Amino acid sequence: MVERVKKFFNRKEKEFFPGQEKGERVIFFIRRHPLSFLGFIAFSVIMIAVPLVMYFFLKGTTLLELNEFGQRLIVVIGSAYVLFILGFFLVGWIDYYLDVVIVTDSRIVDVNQDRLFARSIAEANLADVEDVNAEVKGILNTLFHFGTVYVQTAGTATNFEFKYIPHPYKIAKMIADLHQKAVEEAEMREAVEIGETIAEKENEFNGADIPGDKEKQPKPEDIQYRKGVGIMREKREERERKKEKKLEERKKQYQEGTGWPEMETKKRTDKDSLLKKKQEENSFGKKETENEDKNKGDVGHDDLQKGGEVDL
Amino acid sequence: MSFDSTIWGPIIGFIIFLVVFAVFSAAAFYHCWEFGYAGDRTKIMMVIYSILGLTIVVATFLIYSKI
Repeated sequence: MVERVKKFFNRKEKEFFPGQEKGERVIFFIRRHPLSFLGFIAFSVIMIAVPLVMYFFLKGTTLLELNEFGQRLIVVIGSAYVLFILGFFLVGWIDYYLDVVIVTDSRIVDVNQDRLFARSIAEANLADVEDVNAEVKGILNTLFHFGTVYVQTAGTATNFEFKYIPHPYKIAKMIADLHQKAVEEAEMREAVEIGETIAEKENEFNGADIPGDKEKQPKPEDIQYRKGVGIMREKREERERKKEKKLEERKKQYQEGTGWPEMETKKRTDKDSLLKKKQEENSFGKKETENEDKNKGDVGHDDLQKGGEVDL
Repeated sequence: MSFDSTIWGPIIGFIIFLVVFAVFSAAAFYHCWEFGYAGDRTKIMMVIYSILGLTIVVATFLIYSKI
């Protein structure tokens, strides 16, 4: 019996969140600040309090002197009313509790639960992140350290606006750091791939039996690898130049009085289209070894499964 | 045995409400079960909600029977 109860409360056999890829490591996940749920709690309490207050005022009058049928009706209606508030509270809680932002080692996933039967999931690769801003506005927000985090992404990827996020500055910095790391890792992988291709071509030209010859694959000290890194460096510099140019344009716009360009409207995709997208990505063939490497560093996953949220 | 609408009327209405409430609760539980995260409090909430709901229903029937 005890085992059954334990099994009921234990979700470890499941993935951490729906749609999580194999080997994908959750860095942190965040819920809205509990104060964002305060309004809902207050509303529920008022709904409970109103009939009690009414009863208090009507107690001394003849209005509550009911016959048997009236008493039965009051009991039934009162009970239904309390059950309705209970259900209303549960839906509000689900809306609050299942709204999360998950940041993994490769992407940002924004899960938005809108009451029952309305759920949307938006995601973007960490490498696509362009700007991360945090904003704390208002007395409560300042006192209790919560605010809004804006994540702007490159191209047609989804932009995010995370509201009521606790410690928004820390979160924004963490996302920016993870983005930097993701870009560096992607560049490294690309450099190795370019180096490998150069090595293959050179060896083919020299008549060597490659690919598949492990000894002839490029290593960090090889000239082919360095060529790959060189090409990547050029690409990075070009990207930096583009970024600076874009920033200059935005500054110019600001000085001209047109203000900072507004973020594009958040586009959300449903779960099916996300799965489809993932399948398409997978069809290009991710190396299994990459996933294995990711698993090695899976330090915080168990902790997250236990505690749910990262203590910031 | 005659049908006394003053006794059965409210209780039938309440039972109909309970059926709707049960369907609604099942939908909410489905969300908790399906979309909850590892190590979260959705299951605890489901248990608390069930206990509260059942207590209210049982108390209603008890009070009703004593009138």
